[in-house]
Amino acid sequence: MTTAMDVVQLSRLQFGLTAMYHFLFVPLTLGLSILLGIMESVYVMTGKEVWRQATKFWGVLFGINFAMGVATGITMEFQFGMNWAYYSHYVGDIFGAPLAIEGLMAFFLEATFVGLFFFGWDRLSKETHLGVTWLVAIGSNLSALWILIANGWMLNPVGAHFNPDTMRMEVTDFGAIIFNIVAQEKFVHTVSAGYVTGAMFVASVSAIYLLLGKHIEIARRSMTVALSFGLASALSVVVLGDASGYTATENQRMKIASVEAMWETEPPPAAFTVFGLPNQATHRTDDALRIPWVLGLITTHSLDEKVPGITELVQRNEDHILSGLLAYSALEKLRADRNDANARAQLDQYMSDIGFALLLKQFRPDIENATDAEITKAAWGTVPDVALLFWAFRIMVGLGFFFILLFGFAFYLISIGCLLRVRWLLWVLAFALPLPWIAAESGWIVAEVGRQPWVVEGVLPTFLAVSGISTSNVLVTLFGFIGFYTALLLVDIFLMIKAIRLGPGHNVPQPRARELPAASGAE
Amino acid sequence: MRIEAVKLQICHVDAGSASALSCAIDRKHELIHINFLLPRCNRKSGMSRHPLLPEVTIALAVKLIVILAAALFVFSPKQRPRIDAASMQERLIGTSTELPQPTRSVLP
Repeated sequence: MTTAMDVVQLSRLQFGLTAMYHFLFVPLTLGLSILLGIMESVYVMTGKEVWRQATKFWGVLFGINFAMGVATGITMEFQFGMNWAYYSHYVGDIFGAPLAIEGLMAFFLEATFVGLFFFGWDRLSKETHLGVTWLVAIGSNLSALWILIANGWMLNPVGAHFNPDTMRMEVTDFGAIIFNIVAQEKFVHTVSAGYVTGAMFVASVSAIYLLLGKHIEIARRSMTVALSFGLASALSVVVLGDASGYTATENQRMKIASVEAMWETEPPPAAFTVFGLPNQATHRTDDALRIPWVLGLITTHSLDEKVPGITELVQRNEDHILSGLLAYSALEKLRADRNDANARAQLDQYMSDIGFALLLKQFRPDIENATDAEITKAAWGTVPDVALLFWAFRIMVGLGFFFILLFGFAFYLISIGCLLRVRWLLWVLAFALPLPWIAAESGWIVAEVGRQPWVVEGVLPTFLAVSGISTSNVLVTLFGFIGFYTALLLVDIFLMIKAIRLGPGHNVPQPRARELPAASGAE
Repeated sequence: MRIEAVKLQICHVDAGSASALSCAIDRKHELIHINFLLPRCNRKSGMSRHPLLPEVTIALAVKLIVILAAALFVFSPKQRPRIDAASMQERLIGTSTELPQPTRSVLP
């Protein structure tokens, strides 16, 4: 398994890098599309040309970002087939459906109307064009919904069962997959984070214009929209993020314990560790600064409910492994004789734990003979990288609260007409530009590193999901992606800076003079 | 009034002029004149040539070549991982047929 683990690590690195890179573009698309809809709505309602110019300007930046986002997303879908073939076979029936719907419904909607958005300014009525803009925004958000339904299922696999005849998971309740609580909460949390990113982008670029004294009219109006939208979105992100922690399922408890570096179960309500140095080897958090009660209140919304610690969860997982071995033996019997009713009944009874037994495969092929030490080691292997999760979560949450303060204060100042005089705050807004991306990527690290060692939580270990390909194959494509994506990023940054430098009114398609005069009535 | 004939006339005008359709009744000759003014086109096909046509054609051709090359050399059936129930069984439970003998007590 050692060589396979290398392929696993490289494939994880490849998917992680491409996903993180792709998510540089996604949140801005989500946020800017809604902001475009808001600005154009104001234009249609007021008829003021400045709002049309603002929509067109931010639309160009949206377009650059949208194109890059599409290009970087496609490679991830290929990786499912090439690098994660066993995963694709095992859960393709469930995972493939939301991805297909995303492509056919949401992305086609978005891609069709984005063309009309750019080239329809002088061909469509104001109201129709506004409808087009909102359809682009709805398409973007629906794309996110279906992708997050697929991703949410990996974290909380509901509405499916294992078919021992086909050796794959099959859908039993598509409604349960769509309305999966983890997916729905992840969706609203993620799109809100996208709205914060879009708002910060508009606010930062507007702040730069205001500091330079350029494009004042558009920058001032854009700033107002961005700050109000950003404040509402930042509040939503924090509230919805809290909700997703509160409704964490059994499968996600290990993630929460790891995020909090909570090694032992404490009497309720548990204390929150603000700062500390988690040590995975000693199972301790050194130099911890703790606030009593806070973790219990946040996680359980109660004073008397326990938050299980890592050690307790590991012990529970040892029991899951033992139970899973029963399912494993039943599956073996059933594959040998498909009419073995006892084996089928036993499999049905213990199937939910078979993934835990499969964790032993990393130590030996004949897992039925696993030793106590191997079972304990496999159970401790269900603990993700605690230090990474601990800090990624604190960066994300810290930035989330910073956004509320920043947007709130700036919105108050612009409401009373003072923002333009407080230049230091404009500088802060300008330099805050990369922060939403840092927060969003940290959030994905929490979500996906926190899912390890599972590719589908509790169902399929990551190391069993990878294709039987060579390390060199993965290395070649990995370096290929890094080179290609770096080039794309440079092009994206160059185009963005160029468009921002030119400013509104320069890089938008000018209205075409009518080539044919209208036929006169006399004719 | 009786109409004896309809006279259709198509006239080409300078490129850039408006196309127009006019209709007149000639009572004297009991005719209906239909005149259709059609702007002269630069190309015989009558379709305007897009200024970026060569670039678009080259870009599409290059993309097509890249996709075909990828299909042949990267994603050919030979190189595609082929997973079915048997290979999934091999991956998950291997070829072992031994019954499990857990060394620890199993939960009820």
